Amino acid sequence: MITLRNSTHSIIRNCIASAMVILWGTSLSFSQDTKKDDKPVSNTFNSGTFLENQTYITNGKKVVEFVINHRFGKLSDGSHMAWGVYSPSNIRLEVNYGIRNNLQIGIAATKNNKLIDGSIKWGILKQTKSGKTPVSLTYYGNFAYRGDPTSAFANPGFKESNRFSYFHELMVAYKFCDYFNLQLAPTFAHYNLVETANPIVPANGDSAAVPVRSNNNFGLSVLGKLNINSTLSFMFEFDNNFNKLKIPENDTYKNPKPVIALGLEKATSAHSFQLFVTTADGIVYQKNMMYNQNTFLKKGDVKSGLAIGFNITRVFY
Amino acid sequence: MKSKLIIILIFLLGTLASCTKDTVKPTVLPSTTTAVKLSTDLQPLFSTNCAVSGCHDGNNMDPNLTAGSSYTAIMDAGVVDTTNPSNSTLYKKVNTGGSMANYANPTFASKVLQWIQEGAKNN
Repeated sequence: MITLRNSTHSIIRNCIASAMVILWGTSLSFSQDTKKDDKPVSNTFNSGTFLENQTYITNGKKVVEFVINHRFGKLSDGSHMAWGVYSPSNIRLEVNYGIRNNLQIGIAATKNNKLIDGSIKWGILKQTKSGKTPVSLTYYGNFAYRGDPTSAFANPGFKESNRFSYFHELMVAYKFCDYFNLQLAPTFAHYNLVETANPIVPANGDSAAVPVRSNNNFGLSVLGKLNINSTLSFMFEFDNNFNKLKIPENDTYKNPKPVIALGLEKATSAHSFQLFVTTADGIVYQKNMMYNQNTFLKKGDVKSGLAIGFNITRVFY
Repeated sequence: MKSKLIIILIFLLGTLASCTKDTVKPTVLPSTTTAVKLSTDLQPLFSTNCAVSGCHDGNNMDPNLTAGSSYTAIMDAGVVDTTNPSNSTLYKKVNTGGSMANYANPTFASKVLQWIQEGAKNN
């Protein structure tokens, strides 16, 4: 036990030491090595898809990638629902394509809410081995079209623009060492239509539409990957939404809960298999950010909202 | 680099152009023109949903909404505002979004509002 602790201590020490060297390396110049070390760091994330978010990785030009995201029902549904396997589930199928080096577009379909989303991802900066570029920076944006029948929107003044929602994020990723990668991303979600606090008003009452939440929501996503061996790694993610409801919480309207996901990834050169537990069931990022009501642990009467999910990606070079 | 920036800008402009800030429009219930009476229109629901054991039964929460005592108790509690009817606590509590909305319904809330607008009489 003591030797195990010593070896993990030395790994962590090496990680921190190499991180400090990379960070301070910008002030030192080794002229004979700079050309080689200006290459982007390698062995970071294995795919652009990560649990409930994206990573900074973009595929190259003319590369096609297929992504399947699946979320089973809640674990707390119990043994007769096989801990969520027999419960209603959600699935999203995506195809994305590199139109330029570091620029990829994608299109996907999601079962819940019959969403169709189109996305664009731009790899702006790549962290270099020499430290000249300290972090990797990528922009990801999408728009989603909700295909439910108009009655599902419960809006007497329904317009086609009510179907759209948008999501933008700027991912900042840093490789600490070969074992650990971390990414921080400020996130922004916009729903064209938000619910009102008074859906039914009496004839002589105040019929002003009082929004329940802001159309614009801001949040922060933190995700990290710890390598176990060359193909297997442990992943964790925490996404929070900073916008509170405009009215006090009640039975019908509650603040969105943060998304927490933990899992394992097994990767090959062209495949990434991610198996994890997550509190989010919407898959599409803006939906999770604004409407997630699942909690990690049981809270009073409300059962835990954890569910098993998997992501599979397959790249065709 | 330049062409990628242009493509991203086109995408962002497209999303900005289709961006709207809408809220669901409330559904307005049809109006009723007959006067609302406390004894026949409001008291039945007060008795079945509100004045139950443990709640507004005269021994627990104010106001006491049992038949015969409800008018005095409502007036004493100051939960109706005849100068600004929709601001009355009694109406706000039973209307959608209020803390007592689960024990009432929007139609009842509409009748409460109309009763207050008609002077909150002991009828």
